[in-house]
Amino acid sequence: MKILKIYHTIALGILTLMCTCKGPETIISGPITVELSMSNTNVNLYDNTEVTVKTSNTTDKSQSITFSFFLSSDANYSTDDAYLTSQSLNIPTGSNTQTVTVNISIGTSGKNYLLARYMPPSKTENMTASVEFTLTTTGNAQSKTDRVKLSNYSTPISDKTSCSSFYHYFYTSLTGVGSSLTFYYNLYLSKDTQYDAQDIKFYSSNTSSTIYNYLEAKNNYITIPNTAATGTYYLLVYGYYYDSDQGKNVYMTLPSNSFKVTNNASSSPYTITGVYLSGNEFTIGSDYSVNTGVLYGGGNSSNSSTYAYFYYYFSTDSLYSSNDIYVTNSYNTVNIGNSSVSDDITFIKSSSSSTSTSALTPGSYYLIVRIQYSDYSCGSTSSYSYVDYSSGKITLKEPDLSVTGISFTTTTATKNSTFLIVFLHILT
Amino acid sequence: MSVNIYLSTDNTFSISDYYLDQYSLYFYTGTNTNSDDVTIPSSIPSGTYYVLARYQKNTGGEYYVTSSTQQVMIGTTGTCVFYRNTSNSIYTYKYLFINDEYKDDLYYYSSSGVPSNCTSINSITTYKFTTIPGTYTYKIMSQNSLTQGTVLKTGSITITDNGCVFQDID
Repeated sequence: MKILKIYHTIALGILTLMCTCKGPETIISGPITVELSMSNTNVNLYDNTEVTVKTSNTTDKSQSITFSFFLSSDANYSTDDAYLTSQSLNIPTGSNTQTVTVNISIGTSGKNYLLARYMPPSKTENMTASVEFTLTTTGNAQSKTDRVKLSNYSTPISDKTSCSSFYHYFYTSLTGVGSSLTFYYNLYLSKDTQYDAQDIKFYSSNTSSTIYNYLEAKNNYITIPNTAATGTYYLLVYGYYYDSDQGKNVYMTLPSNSFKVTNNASSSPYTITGVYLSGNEFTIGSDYSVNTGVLYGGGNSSNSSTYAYFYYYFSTDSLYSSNDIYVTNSYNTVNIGNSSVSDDITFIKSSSSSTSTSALTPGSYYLIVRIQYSDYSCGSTSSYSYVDYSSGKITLKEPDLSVTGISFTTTTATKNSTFLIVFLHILT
Repeated sequence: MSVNIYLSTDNTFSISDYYLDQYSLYFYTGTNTNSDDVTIPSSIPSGTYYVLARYQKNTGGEYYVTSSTQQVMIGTTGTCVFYRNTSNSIYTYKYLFINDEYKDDLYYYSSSGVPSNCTSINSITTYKFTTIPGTYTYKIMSQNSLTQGTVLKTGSITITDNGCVFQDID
């Protein structure tokens, strides 16, 4: 038995030794160091620039690391630095060099630094590598047809819930050549990267300068409205400037990264139950009564008013869009429960709604009733929310007009020149 | 509703009237006027015309015609140039009348730009006209008044669709 015990002990020892020798696979932690260099340290604004990322990886296996590139006035990262791009690189063990293309889309002339921010596997804070270069802004930036550049900066926007607030940052770079240049823009919450009429507008602003290569950082505190349904969104800077060389407005869009919005808000307190008209054929220029059935008291009624604006539009489809033809609006009180709101409407395009000179023309339309109400569901700051409802298809026919007078402001005219004639007309 | 716009020598429509433009009348809130910028074709003879609006209230229905009460003069435009001779006092204003209507002062001017056959001339005035082609009487007066001044020179100028065919030396 004693001999058996000895053999057993020896066997266990050998087995333990074998296990210890093979052991579980472990990563030997070690630093990854990064050096940046640029083959050409004289860079034109908006040029693609090749940046060499030299790494020394003393861990025992390759690592995938995301590098975020920023433009900085010094070699140290700060939150004011302009975000340029991100790229993930596979870092093998040992020394390695890889090339990354970075577009220097922002900045002012002179000495600048390109920063690479990265998180090594053994660290809990971002590390920064930098390279100095000289930026020239008198090359591409002088393009007369490309006078405004927009760039996102700061880190990407994270997912949000409705009613949450945060700062949105972007840069405008104006390259007005010797004359004043103004860029007018709106900020929208959009379902995609292109502006359309359904996008939710936050604010309007502009930036203007007479200084060559003017760079301005924009930041605005915005709140995701509770009208934004759950889904994926972008923040869009959508605006224009007037290009005198081309003789037209030049439009441009700067989308943010996509982010998710989760809507926890309750639904609208207003429900439109119907839009009622006396028929389906009407004459432009005449007056008609429009009756709207409204149910008030549901949804978020504790945070909204029973006073609401009723807007009326003619639309070529049954959905409201900002291109629809505004007719008129009224201010109505809606009772708790079912209400019936009646408005007398003249079926003429309202001349005060738009600077457009187009008028209401005969054809098929839908009458859209849009209720606008103050919504306090995101707190004490109200925003406007809307509930829409469409009538059935109606026909607007041409009125009978009579020309009752013709006049002109000058009684002389010459050939090949224009002559303004004014017609006075009445409905008959 | 569309209206056809014509120029007419009288205030009734005829097929010989000159078509200018077709214009759509619209209704806007708070206004009952529309206006149209029309270009006067060069093919229309110079003259004085009424403006007519001719329209139907319904397709295929009766035509209605509305005429302006004013008349518009369709004329030609150009410049007549008058020169002064320095043998007269160059610092004294003289005055141009066309068909007995005051048009301009003849004032001292540079000698540059005058024709080679007018070497002693150093005063110039121009009469920019918009008028119906024809022959007009001009007078150069010593005063800006036909009754108070004396007629220094009188004559005629001819204006055509190609401009003024007159240059005068006083």
